Amino acid sequence: MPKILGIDLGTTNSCVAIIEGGQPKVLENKEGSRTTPSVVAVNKAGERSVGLPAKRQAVTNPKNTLYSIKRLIGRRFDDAEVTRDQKVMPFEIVKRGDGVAIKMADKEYTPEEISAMILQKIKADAEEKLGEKIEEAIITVPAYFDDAQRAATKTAGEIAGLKVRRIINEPTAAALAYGFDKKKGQKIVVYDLGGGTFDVSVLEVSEDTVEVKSTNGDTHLGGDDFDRVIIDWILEEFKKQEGIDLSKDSLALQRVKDAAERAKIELSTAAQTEINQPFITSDANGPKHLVLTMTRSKLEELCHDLVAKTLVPLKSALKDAGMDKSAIEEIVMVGGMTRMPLVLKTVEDFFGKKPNITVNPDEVVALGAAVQAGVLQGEVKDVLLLDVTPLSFGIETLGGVMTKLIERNTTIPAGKSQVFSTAADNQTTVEIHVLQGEREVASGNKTLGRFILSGIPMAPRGVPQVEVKFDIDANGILNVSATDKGTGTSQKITIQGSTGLSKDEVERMKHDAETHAEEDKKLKEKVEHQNLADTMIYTSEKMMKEAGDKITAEERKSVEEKIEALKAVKDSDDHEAIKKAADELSTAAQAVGAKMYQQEAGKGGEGSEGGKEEKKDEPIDAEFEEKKGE
Amino acid sequence: MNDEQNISPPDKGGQGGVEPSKCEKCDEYLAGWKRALADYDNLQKDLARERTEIRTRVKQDVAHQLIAVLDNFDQAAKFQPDGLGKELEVWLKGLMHVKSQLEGVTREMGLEAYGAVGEIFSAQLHDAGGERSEEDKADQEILEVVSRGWKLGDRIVRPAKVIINNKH
Repeated sequence: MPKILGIDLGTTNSCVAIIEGGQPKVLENKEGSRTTPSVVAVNKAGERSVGLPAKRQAVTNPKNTLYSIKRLIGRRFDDAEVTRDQKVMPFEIVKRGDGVAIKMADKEYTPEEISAMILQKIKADAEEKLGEKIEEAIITVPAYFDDAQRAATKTAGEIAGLKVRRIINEPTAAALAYGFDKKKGQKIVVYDLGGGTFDVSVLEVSEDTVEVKSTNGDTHLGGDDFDRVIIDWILEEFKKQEGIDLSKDSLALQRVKDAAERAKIELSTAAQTEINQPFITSDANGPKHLVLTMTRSKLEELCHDLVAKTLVPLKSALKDAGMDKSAIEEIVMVGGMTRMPLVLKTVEDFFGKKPNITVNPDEVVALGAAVQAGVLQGEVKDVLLLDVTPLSFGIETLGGVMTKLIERNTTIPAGKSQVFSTAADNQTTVEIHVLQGEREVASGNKTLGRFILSGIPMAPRGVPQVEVKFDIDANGILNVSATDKGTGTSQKITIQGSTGLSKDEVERMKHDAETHAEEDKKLKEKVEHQNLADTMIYTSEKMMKEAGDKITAEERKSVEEKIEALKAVKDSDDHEAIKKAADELSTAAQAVGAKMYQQEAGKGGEGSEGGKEEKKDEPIDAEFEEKKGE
Repeated sequence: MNDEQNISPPDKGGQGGVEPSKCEKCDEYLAGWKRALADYDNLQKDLARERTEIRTRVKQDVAHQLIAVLDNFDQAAKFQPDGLGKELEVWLKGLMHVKSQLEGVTREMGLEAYGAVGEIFSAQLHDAGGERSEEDKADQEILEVVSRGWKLGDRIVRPAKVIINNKH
């Protein structure tokens, strides 16, 4: 099935995604990046470059490096935006008919042609990555784009050799990426703070469309402005410290720019960061170092006004849509700048609810376009609904804890097996107590069934191997079997409707597990320590028995004392004491064991079996030692 | 799973005993089953690819941080004052050994430095940080390497930042 690309053709960067296995996925470009700079250039040799290479040569070739072309697409020459760009852009914008053209290496191109070059690269990189020809695409545009701008974007796609199946609004795509198109009547705000522009849209989900109720924004507010305030602060601080103005030194300024961007990113997760650029410049007194500490509160102080500025268009958009902020059910964040904690907090404070940021805000628009593409190409035609287990399944093991075999949220049908062993010497039966739930404590979960596997040959604890197999079919029927691997004896139980719990019941059990998490964790730790202590005592006693006269009375006494010490504490709640006593016993037993091996080796005889914790080919330590999982 | 016996062979003559609608359902299920298996198979391949990719990315991330330190060593070397006393000379040499050690680490990671004065600028490899005009040099020739470029295999971890000759 030929793929349809979902393309976010951005002002600063573009991004492309496809649907694969029913899920949207961003495609990396040839350079290995998930976004491509929307930049086109022609060098002196007449070679054209697009994306990162074009951006890299911009400094030395400003007249022939075209960027932010999206600001010009579908515009009339006498539009205010065009007049403004003519003044600030380093390249030449000329009149063609009523519209515009841009000069690049003495040739004139329409914004559609330039955009087509970017789309061509995206298409070519996607084809290379997927190994198949791509002929169709969905391209996103800002919600405020008029018919001429939309038509021009479509033309750009067609020049690039793409059949443009749909032009969709960026905020709609973002909402689609979150699957917010399902609930009729739902009201959504999309807050898009990108590299150079800020857009806010109010959406309402109607019968089978997502309607844009209003849009607003600031076409010249974005990440670049935030970078600028940080750069200015760094320059000012350095000037205060060293009396040198770095803004005149272009190379130093570039290092400051890089450092500012890094600081901005680091302060999204850390409370403070160090701006460390040693040897940034020098004067008659020698080299100078730029070393500053920037705190998040400093950054927020610097950026406060910029963030506050976004609330004005936000309020206007709500007003235009005739909605109160309390009516908004979901807020979707788009654009890299929305990762900034201050931005998130401002939006959260404004609406009184947390905005959605789980989908990468740089990619969310392209991903949403891909979702739309998936619907068009019918990827989700015959939807086969797969169920998941709402709660975990497992069995009760030594110490009354639940050992989970199938974790909750596992897609079914599914199967898993694990090998367990006996807890006591000569144990000939094991009880399989099948449980469902999230508690660590077996008794806190729901019992689904019990059965007994008997006929296990008499053997020391830990030796028999009992394989317990869980298998849930697509209808939620759970089969649990236990097989003694030594004799092949087997028992099983079938539990109907294991996934058919009511939503309330599932919630109650999950909640139950959460509230008991701490005490359960403690109990589990205690059981683990006790099991470890039991095993240590068992192996050490066995070793003492087998050692006979191979060890001195003193050595025997030392180990036996440690065994007694561990026995004395093993049932207490003092984990540290148990651990300490177990460690001491382990050290003492190992020393004796090592000596026994040396004696055996000295005799040239076969190795003694009864040593320390040395395991044979299939180690079994305690009753719930994991052997394998399928 | 006992339904398998009910699946009829493909209806060659069009006169089979199974109703067309049932047959269509069988085909749909078989196609869906095959797709699910294929999806799983592809997922495994994707995961293997992704694992390699993640390893490379982690390496790249670490490389980025190490490169920044090496850059500062390079920068320090540019500012080395003349006429250092013998004691300071020896001390400096020691520091430069630390730099070599760090370079050794990057080499072991598979990183390779590139970018030298005299090469011709290529936007695939270099990032133009500025320009000058020198008559005796070729157009687009690299006049100064501000910071070295770094490659990991054939992937550019960071392009070399250079000043180039621009003959207007």
